[in-house]
Amino acid sequence: MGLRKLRIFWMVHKTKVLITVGTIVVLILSIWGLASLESFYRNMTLAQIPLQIFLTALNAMIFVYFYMSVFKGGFASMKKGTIKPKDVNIHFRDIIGLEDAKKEAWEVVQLLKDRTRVRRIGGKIIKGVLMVGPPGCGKTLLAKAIACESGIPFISMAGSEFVEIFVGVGASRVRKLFEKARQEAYANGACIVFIDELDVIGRGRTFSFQGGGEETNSTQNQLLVEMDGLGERQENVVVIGATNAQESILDQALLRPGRFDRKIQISRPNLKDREKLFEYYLKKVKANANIDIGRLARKAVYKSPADVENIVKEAALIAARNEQEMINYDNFSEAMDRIDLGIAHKLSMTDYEKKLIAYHESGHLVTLYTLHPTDDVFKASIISRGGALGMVHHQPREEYYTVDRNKIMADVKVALAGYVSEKIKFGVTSSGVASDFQKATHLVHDMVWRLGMGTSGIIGDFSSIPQHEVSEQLKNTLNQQTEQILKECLKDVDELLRSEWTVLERFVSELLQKDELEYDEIDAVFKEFGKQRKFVNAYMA
Amino acid sequence: MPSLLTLSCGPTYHKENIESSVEKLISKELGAESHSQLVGRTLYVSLPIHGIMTDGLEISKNVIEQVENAMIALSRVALSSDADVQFIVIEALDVQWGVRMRILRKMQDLKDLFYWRISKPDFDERLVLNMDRAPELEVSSQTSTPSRAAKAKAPLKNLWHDISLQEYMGELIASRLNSGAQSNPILNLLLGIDKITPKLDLDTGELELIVSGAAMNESPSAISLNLLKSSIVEQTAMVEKKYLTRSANNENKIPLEERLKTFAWIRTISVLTQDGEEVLNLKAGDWRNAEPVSMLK
Repeated sequence: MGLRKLRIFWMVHKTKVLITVGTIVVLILSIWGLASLESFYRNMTLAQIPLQIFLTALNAMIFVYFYMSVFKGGFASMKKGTIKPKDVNIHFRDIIGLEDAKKEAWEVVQLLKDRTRVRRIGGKIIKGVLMVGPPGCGKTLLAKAIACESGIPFISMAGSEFVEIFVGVGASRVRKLFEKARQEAYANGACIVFIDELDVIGRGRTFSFQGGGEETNSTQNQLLVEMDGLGERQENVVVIGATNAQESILDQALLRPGRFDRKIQISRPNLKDREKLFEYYLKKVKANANIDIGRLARKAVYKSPADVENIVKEAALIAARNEQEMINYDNFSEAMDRIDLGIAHKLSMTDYEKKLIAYHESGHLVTLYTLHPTDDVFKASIISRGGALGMVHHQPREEYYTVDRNKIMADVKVALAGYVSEKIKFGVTSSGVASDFQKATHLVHDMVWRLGMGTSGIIGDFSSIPQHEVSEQLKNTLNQQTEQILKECLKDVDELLRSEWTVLERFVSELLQKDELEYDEIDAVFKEFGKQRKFVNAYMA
Repeated sequence: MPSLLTLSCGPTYHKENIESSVEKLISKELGAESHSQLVGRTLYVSLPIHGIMTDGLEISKNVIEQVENAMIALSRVALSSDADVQFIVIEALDVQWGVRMRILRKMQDLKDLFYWRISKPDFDERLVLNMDRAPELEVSSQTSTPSRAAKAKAPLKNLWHDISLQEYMGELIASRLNSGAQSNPILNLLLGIDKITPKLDLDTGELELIVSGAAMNESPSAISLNLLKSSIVEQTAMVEKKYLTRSANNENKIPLEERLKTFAWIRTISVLTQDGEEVLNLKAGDWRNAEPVSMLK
């Protein structure tokens, strides 16, 4: 037994023993060598020893310093401070909208606040909360509110901060982060670690022969271990991760219970929430009291809270540039156009080209207003923006999460309207129809190949299976259907525009005169001709 | 192991048996018999060498190596001994050719070299090297007798004495003049000197340089005398600078005037022919106030 223990000791400590023995032997030999020197040389050698020790120590210190700061410590060091709850000062009441997300977050807060009671019952506080949603919707804000409401300190890091070119630095930073978090948890009872852009290190791990992705793999592995590993001491460290990516992209090991227990979906604000956001941000600037916030909110469909804030800021800048005392609706409109469409760039065009573009855009405009079941026209312009010579800016009135055949067909018809308008007026068409055709073709292709919306009754998603497994006959049938639908749409648009040609001509003259038409002006012209939006009531029911 | 235990920096060679230590070491390193003696603060060793001249009438490299090794051995003993050794002298005797090579070195110079107080070129300049003919030593290889060989072993023992710094400095001046005159053929031609022998008289403060050579025995030309004067001035100034600008314990630099207050040194240098005729006389001011002009290496 004793021999076995000795053997195990030797196996475990072999290197240390050999180094120790070697050092002792070298020391003895050095002393023996010194002793065998003649006294003068011996004295000289002994006299030089302190200087040599000093120089060796200095070399070692310089090396260690460089090693720590350049190769290890410099990149792996973390300059992240802990944020105290009182410094955060963001409460749930300060967050506009996100009611469902706040409800879930509140549960998390309750668990953190009552952690002692939970433990007494035998429960465990959650380890991780994953927030998924588009950028700028309030994930970080919600995480801060959780920290503030639960009264525990908060350490924030971005996923990209873990990534360096040297392998192992990411894992080292994860270790340091959790070490710091455990210290804070030990001092304050619990600690929140917020990792933004979690998908940078949380993507599904890759296992390739060439060793690619080893750095992020090791970082992620370390994160998995820290969140639920065999640690000596389990402190109350709650990890809140935020990501824009879909859950399916993240590694399954990260998403399992015991790590990211809770998932909170953060979605874009609806109409009511957008109104509240505009109210909130407008209070911070000098704005005209008569601004219709509802209209602003309707125009800002699919915008995140960060987008709303950006719109208000941009509008303020535009007002300041125009030397105005306060911001008005036009500034907001211009701000949204600038953000969505880019800066207006007036090109010097020939009259013919200008007319061509006016007819093209008017075709889109009239078809949109007349046929589209969901979208409102907010702007029509023949000024070049973002590479396009003209545009008709439209938005749905509300957020829709599905599209039906009617809407897709309307989109197709709107896309083809520019071509039809040019054809009717000039007999020839221009290259400006390229992007419209691309859009229309894709829409119809999806209808037939993916969504089973063709006329022949064939259903299925034929774009997701390898093309060589689809028969030629089926391909031909589907392509023919695509072609047929496009022709039908073309025919419908042609009929519509010919019947509404007077209205179209009116818009052409307005555009040629003013270059841009806003929502009110468009609405006024249509009302002048007694026109009304079709299918509005059906969708609003 | 005993040496390990007694690693308390004691001397390797005790002064009581320094002479036998030298002889043993030389015997071990060179495989040659030698005779050593400590006279005052000067450690002498004489050893036989063979074949100082090669068949091609060049100085044998083996002999040079032998002498260098003997110098190293002697230095080792002198440095690692508790005897107060100031000077070491090697006398290498070639009984076949009847030639005596005498090398004199100051121990402090060696220590200064080790301690980086002086450079290697400076150290090389501080060597007294004399070559003499000693016909009484000539022993034919076929007719050598034990008595002659024994005579060769320690021929000049009775001349061994404790060398003083002044004597050393005098010899160094003469040695430097000799080596310069012989190493430079043009200088040799102009000076016409075979050898310069120093003779120091501290009572009168005079250093006599007895010059032997054809040019000196006849009437020396003004050019030769000027050249000789310049050489003497240069070498004397150099030797004074090397040895008289440091304190007695050699640790601090001090002005020459201050050192001369406590150190008896020459005030005049006379150059005499072998017949005793004085050809040149220099006063202290001549070499202390002169502009440095390098005539000799």
